[in-house]
Amino acid sequence: MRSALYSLLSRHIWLSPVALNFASRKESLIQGVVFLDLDGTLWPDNGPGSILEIPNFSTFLDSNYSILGNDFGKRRIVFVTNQTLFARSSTQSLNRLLTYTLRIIQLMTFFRSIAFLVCHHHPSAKNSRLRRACIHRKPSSLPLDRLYSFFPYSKKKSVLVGDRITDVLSGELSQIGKSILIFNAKMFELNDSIHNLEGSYSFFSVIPNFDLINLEKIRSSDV
Amino acid sequence: MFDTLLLAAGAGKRMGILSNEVAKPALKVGNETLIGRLSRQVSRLQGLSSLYINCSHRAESIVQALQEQELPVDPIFLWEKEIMGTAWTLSKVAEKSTKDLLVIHGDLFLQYSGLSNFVSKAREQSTVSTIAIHQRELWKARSVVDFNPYSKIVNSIIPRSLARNESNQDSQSQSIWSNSGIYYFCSNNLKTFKSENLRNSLIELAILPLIINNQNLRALTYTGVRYSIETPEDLKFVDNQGFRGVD
Repeated sequence: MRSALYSLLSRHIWLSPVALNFASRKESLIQGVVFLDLDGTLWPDNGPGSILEIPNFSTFLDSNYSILGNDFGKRRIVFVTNQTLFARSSTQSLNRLLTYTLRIIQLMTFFRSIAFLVCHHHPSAKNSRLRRACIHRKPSSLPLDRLYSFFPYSKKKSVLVGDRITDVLSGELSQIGKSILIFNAKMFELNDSIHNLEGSYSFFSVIPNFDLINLEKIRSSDV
Repeated sequence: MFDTLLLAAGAGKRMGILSNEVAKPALKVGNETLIGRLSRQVSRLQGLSSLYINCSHRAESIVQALQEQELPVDPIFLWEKEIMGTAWTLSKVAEKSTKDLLVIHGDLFLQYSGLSNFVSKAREQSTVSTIAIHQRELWKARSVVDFNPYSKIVNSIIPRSLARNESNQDSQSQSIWSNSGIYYFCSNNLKTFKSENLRNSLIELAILPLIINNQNLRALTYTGVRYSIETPEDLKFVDNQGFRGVD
C-alpha cells in the first residue's frame, strides 16, 4: 500500500476523467485554462504541508471559494504546485499520505479541475525516494508544456496565479498569456530554486490576495 | 493610445546606503515614492493604455510602492533576475505592445503639466519619435543631444564621458543640451529591435542611434519641473527645499 502511494507521489500529472474525455475527443480548450498554485494562493503558506493543516477541508473550500467552485467562466482550472511535505521528512505515515491524496481528490472535484500538476521532489530531501533535482519542479515550464501535449489549450487566453516569482516564471517560459503574482513578503525569494535562472525574466500583474473580488476581475478579463 | 514604461530596475549605487534596502525609485519625497508619483502622473495622461514597470534590484520595494498607490490602471511588472539594460527592457515591452511607447526613467521627479505638455506635443507626429531635452551643465548631463535647431531632428547622442573628453572648455561651467530621460517612441520605430541582441545595452547607446540613422528622432525642450535624483543630496534638496506641493 505504501509503495503504491509512493508511486502516486512520483506521478507529475494527475488527470481528471473530464480531462481524459477532452484528450480522447482531441478537443482543444479554446478559452484557455487558469493555472492555480496552492500554498500562498488558495490558502496561507505555512510551510510544507499547509494543505494538511486546514481543518474541515470541504467546509474551508465551500466558505472561501463557493463561487469559484460553481463557475469559473469558460476557463478550466489546473493546479500546478511544488509540494515538499513528503520530501522534508524521512519517514512517512500512511495516514498522512492517504489524507493528502484524499484532499487532492476533494480539491479537484470541488473546482472541477481537469489536472493536478505536481512535483513532490526536492534536491536536498530527507526522504531518499524523493531526493531529486527534478525537471518538473517550478520554475520549469515542463508540467505546463506536457499538459499542452495532452490537449492543446489556448496559451494566449490562459492565466496563471501564484505567490512566488518562480510560479510566474514557469508561466512566462511556457508563454502563458497572463501571470498574476499575489503580493507577499516572500514573492521574490529564490532560495530553493534548482534551475539556472540567469537571464530570467517575467511579466506579471500583482493582486493583494486571491479573494473573490480579484477572482471576478480575473474571470472577466480578456487576458 | 499609447503604453508607458517606467524604468525602475537600476541598482542606484550613487544613493549609497539609501538604496541598500529599497530601490531608488521607491524612495520617498514627502509622503510619496518617486515611482508612485510617476505612476500617478502617467495614469492621468489621456490615451494611456497599459503601464509597464520593470524591476530587479529590491524589486519587492517597487511592487510595494505601487500597491500603496491607488491607480486607475493595473500596472504590469517586468521582473529581471539581473539588470538586463534599458535597451533590452524597452525591446521586451515593445514585443508585447503594438502601441506607441512613452519611456521615463524611474528616478525622475516631474511636474504633471510638463509631462502632459511633452506627451501631447510628441503625439502630434505619428511617425517620428521624440526625446525630451533640457539645458544642463556638461559634467551633470546624462548624455548630450546634438540636434538641428531648425528641424529639431537629432543628429547624434553623445555619451557624457565622450562629450567631456571632446570639450576643450571647462566642463564645470559649460551648459549643453542634455537627454532628459523621457522618450516617446512611435510604434513603427520599435518594430525592428530584437531583445536578444540588446542585453546590457542602454537606450541612448543602442536604440536611439538606430532611429537617428533613419532621421526619425526629434528633440523637444522639456518645460516644467524636472529633477533627476542621482545622489542623497538630490533627494534631500527635492524633499526639503524644492518642490513641496508641486503636482
